[in-house]
Amino acid sequence: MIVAVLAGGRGRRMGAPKPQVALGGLPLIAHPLAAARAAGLEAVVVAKPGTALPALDVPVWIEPREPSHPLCGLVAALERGPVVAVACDQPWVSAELLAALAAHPGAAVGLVAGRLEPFPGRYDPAQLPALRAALAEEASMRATLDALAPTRLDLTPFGDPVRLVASLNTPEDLAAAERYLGARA
Amino acid sequence: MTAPDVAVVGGGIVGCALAAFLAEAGARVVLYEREAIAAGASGRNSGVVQHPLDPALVDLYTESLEHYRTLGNGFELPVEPAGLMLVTDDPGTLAPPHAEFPELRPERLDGAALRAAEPALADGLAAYRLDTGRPVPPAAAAIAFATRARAAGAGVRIGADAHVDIRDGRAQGVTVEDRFHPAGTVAVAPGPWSPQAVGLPLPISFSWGVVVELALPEPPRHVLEEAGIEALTSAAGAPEALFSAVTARGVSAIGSTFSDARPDPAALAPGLLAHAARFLPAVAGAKVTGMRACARPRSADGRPLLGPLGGIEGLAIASGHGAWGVTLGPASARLVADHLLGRAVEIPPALSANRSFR
Repeated sequence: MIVAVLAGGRGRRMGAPKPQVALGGLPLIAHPLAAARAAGLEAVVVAKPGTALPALDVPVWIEPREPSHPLCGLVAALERGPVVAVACDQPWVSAELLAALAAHPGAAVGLVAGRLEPFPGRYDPAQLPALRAALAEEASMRATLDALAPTRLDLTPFGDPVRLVASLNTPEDLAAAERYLGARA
Repeated sequence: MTAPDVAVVGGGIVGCALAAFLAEAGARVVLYEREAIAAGASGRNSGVVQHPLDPALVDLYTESLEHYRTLGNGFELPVEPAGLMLVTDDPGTLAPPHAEFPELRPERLDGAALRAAEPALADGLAAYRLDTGRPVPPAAAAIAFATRARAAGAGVRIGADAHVDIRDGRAQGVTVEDRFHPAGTVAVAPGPWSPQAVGLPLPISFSWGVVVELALPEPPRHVLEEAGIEALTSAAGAPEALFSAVTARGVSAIGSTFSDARPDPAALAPGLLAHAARFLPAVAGAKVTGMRACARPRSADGRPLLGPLGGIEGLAIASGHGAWGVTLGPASARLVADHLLGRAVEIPPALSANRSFR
């Protein structure tokens, strides 16, 4: 099973290319990549043409330039087979959680505080028609997920669910994450 | 909920294997892990299962190989070892290693023979090739044991910073954020955090290391280590840095440093890579794709502490494996699990947690 790290977002609120901003001395994207590697899972990065990326030791799959939508990279990845998809700005995703998703027999996403979280999630090419349709109308990620009805995975066994799926969107998020890393050292 | 039979502290390779063996034997088990499964050295090491080159540890290694062959749950042990090369850039000093381990079939290589066996190495080196060294994904073993533990009914509490509660000469359970969780017995396996978790001085300390990852155009075929790395299991203590390279799936993890204080990987990486380039010239031009600090649990004599601890009833430890946690962890856990289950088991005196350290 391949872990697809989605890096095609614009990161407007971060004010800098998200995959490259530093957290704990490493590019942000290195954190989910390290979790995948530690779990023994192959990883790829899915990005748009020209997305600013740090030095990587994994393949980069190129997604269409348009539209700028979280589903765009997911659809591009699924066209090559089933994946565990995780966003490049999710540094707290654990190796164990990725391994559990990879081992899941079909599509599955986490249920966090009563809502389905799209990433990290295990997706299947059988979902492509529905995902392509949602992408064409640029439907919201949550409405799309509700329609897909994947297996809902309880994330509490893997740690604090809110932290596990948290994504860093702003410089303030990044600063708070840096403080958290420092406090647990 | 009724109190579990065993509270296991620490979700690394040793704690996860302990929880799996205990739960599979029918014990009620709760595993407490502060951060995430394999968050410490078990998930941040170079990732290799390898002969420990210490007679006192060979049985644990041999048994652990068996546990790995049958582990399943996403873990695959390479059938054949990649081979370990102990290399030196001072060929005159290269001594034949470990005559007591003929099964390793040591073979001295230099010149054209060394170049043929391992083209990635620099000219002018000499090496002994040993028949050991199986690269594995660092965290996969701990995750697989955690999966087995859960499947056998063990509870796993991630984010729970547990400390042993010792009263009246007995481990009563653990406290997590000032809340008491009773347990019949407590098994501690939190690596270098063992003294804090137990609340007693123990001969286990932090040995921090930095590992840098890069993709080399022609990666080495063998596990590479600078000759002298066996000093790590001697009482003399570790040098500041020793070259090592473990390659899996085209990515080479270059190690490693040894320090008591937590290092800044970015600050140490240039020196580490400059040292590595003496052995692997291609390192000099390669792009760094990852780096990490790893906290190894170093014991005072380089060997793990296993079994009952002090005079405290209901308390057992499995910790202090240094760089050998993944290599020796499953068998260490099996010994301590058998002890906790009341089975007839003899902890080797050289590994007993109650041995004397001088």
